[in-house]
Amino acid sequence: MTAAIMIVFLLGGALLQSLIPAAAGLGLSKPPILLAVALYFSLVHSRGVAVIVAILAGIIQDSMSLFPVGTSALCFVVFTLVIAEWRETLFRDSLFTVAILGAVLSALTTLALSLILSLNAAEAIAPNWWVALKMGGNAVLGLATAPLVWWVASSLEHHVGLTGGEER
Amino acid sequence: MRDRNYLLWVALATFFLVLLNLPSSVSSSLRGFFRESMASYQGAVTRTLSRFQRGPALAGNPEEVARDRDRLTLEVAALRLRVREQEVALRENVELRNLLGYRARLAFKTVACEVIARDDGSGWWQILRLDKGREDGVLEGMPVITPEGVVGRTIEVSSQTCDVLLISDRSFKTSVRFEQDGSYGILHGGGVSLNGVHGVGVLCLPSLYRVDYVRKDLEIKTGEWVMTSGLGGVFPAGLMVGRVVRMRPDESGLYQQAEIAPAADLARLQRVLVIVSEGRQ
Repeated sequence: MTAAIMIVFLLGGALLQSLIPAAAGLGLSKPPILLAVALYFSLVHSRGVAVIVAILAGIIQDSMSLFPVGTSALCFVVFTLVIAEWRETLFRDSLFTVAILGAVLSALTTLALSLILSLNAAEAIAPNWWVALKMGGNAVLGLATAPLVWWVASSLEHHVGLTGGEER
Repeated sequence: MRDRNYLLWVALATFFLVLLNLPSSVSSSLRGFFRESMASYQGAVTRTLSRFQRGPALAGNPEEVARDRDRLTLEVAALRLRVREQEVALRENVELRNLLGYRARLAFKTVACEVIARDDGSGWWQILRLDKGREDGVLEGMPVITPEGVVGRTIEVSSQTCDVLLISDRSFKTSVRFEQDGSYGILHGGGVSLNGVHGVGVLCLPSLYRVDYVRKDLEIKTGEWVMTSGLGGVFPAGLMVGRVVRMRPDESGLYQQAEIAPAADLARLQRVLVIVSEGRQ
């Protein structure tokens, strides 16, 4: 059942993320739905499941963009492992914690991806002010998206009898 | 237990080493698999939204619809007349070219495509996804146009879909020519306007394009057309890119820099043409 839920979240999240228009005023940021899905699994499920979700979410995100396959997956897995290590000390059932984590991780992912891009590209793909704007934009969208995804995911898991919190 | 953890870390590191260094054919197939899996859903949602957006316009005031119909009927009649005149001019043109021994100008062979998604999934690039791919003759690096002008070039192609890097993307570059004096320059996409209109089914408004390395001694007027030069091997010569908005000296002082307003309406694209060859249609 966990696998089915995982696939539904990943494909649904990818579809939504690709269709929701980027916000120009926020540096063409998109709601980080796939990151939020990875965050949910890292806080609620076992480390193994969380890593698999993080890898799949990252590969799907890279497939929808021009990033080399694996770059987003690497970022997501690093964040997943860090969160899985520290989650017992976090107030993980609080939507506020989820919102803050969503914002911070979205901004950090943007920074990490821009660094990877600047290492690969002959010239900067975007000016620094644009990257800063994008980090801020992603943080704002992460702040809003992560609790929403958390609420939908936990409600769905509860509805189908998978109380994720038990599976640690 | 410690050995098992150690092995897991090594396995994860090896996995990422392999994943990040996949041969391009394998990573393309992987991208293609995920894109194709989502393409039908993206197409369905985009078409539905587009229908909803057009709906209110169609169900508007009946008097207004009737007025529009009458106006369009008149326009069609006028355009038919103009087409007949142009057919005559075209025949004359062909006869004169034959007399002079010129080769007929080549037409482009194009594939009409529908836009099924806007933006890439990450928001880093300005990309369109189209509903045609290798099965329809579309390959990587082909020009994408509308009747108004250049839209971009294909970058990732799978069997049934392709992604187009828009001309407005910051990483886009191509060689262009000014219409009047034929001088050349390198066009860069300008990204998007921060205060542009955006929403479902509408891309962000592109900023002005920039043309670098324009000779300093040339006097280029505002409003002059800029078109593809044919250099570089991607775009054939003569495709409209945009109009000059202003000229200024570049930072080095050795060249001029031009700002160009896009010819094609990139924000509201629904259908585009991919030039698959420069042969006759």
